[in-house]
Amino acid sequence: MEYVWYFLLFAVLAGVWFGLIVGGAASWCALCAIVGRANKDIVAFLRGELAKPSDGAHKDHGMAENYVVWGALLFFTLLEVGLAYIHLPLLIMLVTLLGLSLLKAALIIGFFMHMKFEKRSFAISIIPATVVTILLLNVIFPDGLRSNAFREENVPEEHADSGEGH
Amino acid sequence: MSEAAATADTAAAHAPAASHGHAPAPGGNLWDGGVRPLGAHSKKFGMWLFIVSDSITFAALLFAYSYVRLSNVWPTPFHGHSIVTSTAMTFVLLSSSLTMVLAVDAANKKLRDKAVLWTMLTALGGLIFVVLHTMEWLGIINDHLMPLIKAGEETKSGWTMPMVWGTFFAATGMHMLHVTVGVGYLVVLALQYKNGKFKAIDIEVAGLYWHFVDLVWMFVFPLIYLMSAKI
Amino acid sequence: MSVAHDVEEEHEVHVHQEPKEFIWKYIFSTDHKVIGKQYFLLAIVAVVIGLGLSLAFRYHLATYTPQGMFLNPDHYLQAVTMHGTILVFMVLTTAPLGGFGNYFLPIQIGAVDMAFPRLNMLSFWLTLLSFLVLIAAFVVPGGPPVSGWTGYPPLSAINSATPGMGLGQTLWVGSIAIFCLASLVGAINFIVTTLDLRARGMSLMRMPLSTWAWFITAIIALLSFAVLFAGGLLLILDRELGTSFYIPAGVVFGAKELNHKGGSPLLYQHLFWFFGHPEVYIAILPGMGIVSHILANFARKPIFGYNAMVYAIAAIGVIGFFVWGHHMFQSGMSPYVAVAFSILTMTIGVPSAIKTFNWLGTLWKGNIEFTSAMLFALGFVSLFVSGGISGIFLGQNAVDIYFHDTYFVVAHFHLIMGVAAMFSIAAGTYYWFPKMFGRYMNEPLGKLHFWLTFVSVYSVFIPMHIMGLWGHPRRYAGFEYAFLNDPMIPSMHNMITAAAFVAVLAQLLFIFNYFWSMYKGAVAPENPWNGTSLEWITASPPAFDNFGGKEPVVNHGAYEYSVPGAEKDYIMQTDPPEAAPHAAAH
Ligand SMILES: [Cu+2]
Repeated sequence: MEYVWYFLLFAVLAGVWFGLIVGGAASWCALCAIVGRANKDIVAFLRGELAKPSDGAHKDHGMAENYVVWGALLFFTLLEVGLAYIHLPLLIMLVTLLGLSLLKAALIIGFFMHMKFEKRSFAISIIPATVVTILLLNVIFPDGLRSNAFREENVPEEHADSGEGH
Repeated sequence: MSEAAATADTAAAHAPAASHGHAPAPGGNLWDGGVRPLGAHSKKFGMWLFIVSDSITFAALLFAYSYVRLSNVWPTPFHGHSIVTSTAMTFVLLSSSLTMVLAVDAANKKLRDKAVLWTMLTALGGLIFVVLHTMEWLGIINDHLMPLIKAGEETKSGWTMPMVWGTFFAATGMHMLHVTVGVGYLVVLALQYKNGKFKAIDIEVAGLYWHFVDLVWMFVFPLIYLMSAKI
Repeated sequence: MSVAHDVEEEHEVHVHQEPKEFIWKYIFSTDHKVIGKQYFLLAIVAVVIGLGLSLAFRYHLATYTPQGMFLNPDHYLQAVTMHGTILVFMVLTTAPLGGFGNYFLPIQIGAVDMAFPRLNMLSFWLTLLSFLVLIAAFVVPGGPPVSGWTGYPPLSAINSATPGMGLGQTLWVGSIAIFCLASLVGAINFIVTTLDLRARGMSLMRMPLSTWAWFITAIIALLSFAVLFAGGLLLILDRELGTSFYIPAGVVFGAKELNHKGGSPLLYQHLFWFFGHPEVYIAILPGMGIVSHILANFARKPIFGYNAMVYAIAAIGVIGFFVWGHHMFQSGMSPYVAVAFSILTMTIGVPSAIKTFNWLGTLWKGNIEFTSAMLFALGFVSLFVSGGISGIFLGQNAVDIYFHDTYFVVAHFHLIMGVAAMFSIAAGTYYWFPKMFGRYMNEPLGKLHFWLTFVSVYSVFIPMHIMGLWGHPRRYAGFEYAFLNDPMIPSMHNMITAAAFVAVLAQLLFIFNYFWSMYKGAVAPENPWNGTSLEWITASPPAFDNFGGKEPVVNHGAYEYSVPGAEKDYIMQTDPPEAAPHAAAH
């Protein structure tokens, strides 16, 4: 009988894992929608209707905002380097750095690479698939942690010589 | 220009380069064929797809780095000097992205000479990055690898590269390869563009590649350098 | 302002004239049709080498005694490695996608050529280069590697392990890296072409299923080869620069402990199979598309559940990325992850079953014509079912731990990935040959080819399943068969080898038929099979610009066969809208 419970437990785990990945992609799409004032275009894209390119593509948006973006990128970089000078716990450091890097990436993609001014269907065709594929690679980490647990100095005393305990 | 006229113009602009360039029927479906549904030039779409694939390659490299880092005790070999150099490199790369934006802008405005100038400046930025990076590489090889190689020769046991330097060279080497290719790409493009061979869209596509190289560095720099810094 | 500039930019029509000189017309051609044939020719050369190797080691296994062996163990492993690598990369990946995809995707969507003809040429030449680099491993000192088509480290990461692991393995990794680039370029081309260059009226849901399959396959290739490239790059570094990504501490070779430490072979396995599982679909999805296309044509019925077929192809493409861990159940992977992979693997049976039922639904009460193409398509369905069923067993990690290193797995993946894909290639060849060369292939020979192949491949792989159940291990050049305590084993090996010889010789019949029919086959009209899709409105073979200067306009779905009230039993996609009076608007 307990095997049924194990199976259910693992099924839930699998579901959570799948959900995290798909949820990540979905939230990215949602972000695109909110940031890009483009709900209309997304709906049109999903329905396959003739969507008008977002106005930006045909407005002569000035260079000014690119200078601002450049400044922001330099600023965030300095912020990151500053973090290296104050000694934070590694995990906090990692999360902060990755957060800032994602922000910088979004700025580069959105403004320098012009994604903000492309049609939303273009962004939707390209970004979610990439994000999902990259997030999928997270699945390798449990094994990285396991090999760390197998390192000699990390094996608890009582298991060190008895091999497999069960 | 009225709304309807604008739509018609847009549709014509996004017709494929093949022999047929019709707009979809009024109220028709963008995905019905005969038009580019994504509203972008095919070359641009193609470059974006390349970027998708390449970003996954870089992601896999950085994930591999994280994997081995998770399963090992990790040293912190980057001190003040390295961090200052790499920060300067980052600034150069970011600024070259800005000049690339200016080049694309100039090309779109049909200011050919200006576009060539900005493109060349971008390539120059890339070149500075490569030079600074190579100097740093040589420093690391001298300070950290040569002693190991010598020790290996003396004890006749051969040598292997410590994990921290293996990941460093893998990630930054792949990135540097991209920068170097990018510099060549930009120089060739600028020279040909000057002779009237390419169009504004080609500058824009090259720009996408260049910004992507910049984008990758935004992850390589914090993960490889800052996470292993000790100042 | 930018509207004006866009118009100027977009109207650059690359009118390329048909080149006259031989070298530009047939060798360095940018014409997608020539490139498609080049890919196909490459696949034929590769398949001859790959199948020849399989005969060598099959003969070895049948005649094996500990005293006298046909191959020594090193050569056996080298033959197996090269057999796998050549067939997976150079045949199953090139022929269905690079060969048929290049030739027929632009035609089926009504385009003049691929979106980037020169990149298309680059893609082929990189593939050829990759093939030559791989083949070069045969002639370098030490010969080819022994690490299997998966090239697992630490074996593959250590230069001095065996003779073949020196230069041979280096060439192998190099070849794979080049192949990744070629596939990337090709995939970009396919995706852009499909989305951007469709003729007027060719909406996504009017595309033939073969086009859908090539399109989804290209997306899979774009996303998965990137990871293999990274994995291969790190393997090269481990081999050439002394890094230790894949080599843990304590590896001993020749009584000497290596200095490497800190790496993990599991990392390579993750990166490899992240690509490796989608690769299975890169090989089989185009086959599914081709077979759907052919079944509808020769059953003279609309494909059953077109929309469901499209969604199933897409679902297989997506889920295919979530299951790679089922190749690593016995590798010491985290058991929690393994169970997740196990459950996800079984979900992929759902879209596969949808496809199978729809194929059967298409055949149901159809007016079936048993041409060679149709026979091979039916054979594909049969192999897909019998090879796929055992996939459900193997997807469960508890079962797989027993089966994984036995012949059961060998039999499973050969049936579903190798032979089924080969059947789809054969089916596509018999079906499209009249279009490609303007002549039919010889039908009686084709039918003989089918029956010989069909019977012999089952005779090869069904016994292998049974031997796997008995625990016959894979990758062994030989061992005392008495060890398995079953007297049947040696005679089964004999039978498998005999059947393998029949199967391979039957392919020679096919290759002979192919080249003979090119010159001597009966002349074929424009639309020899009364098909509906766009390739059948072109001349046979098609004009340089495919449609002879005409511009196809599509008014119908891809599979309007036997429409009630229509004049003929098929309505071509370009027929006027009123050709189908009672057909549901598609
Ligand atoms: Cu698999």
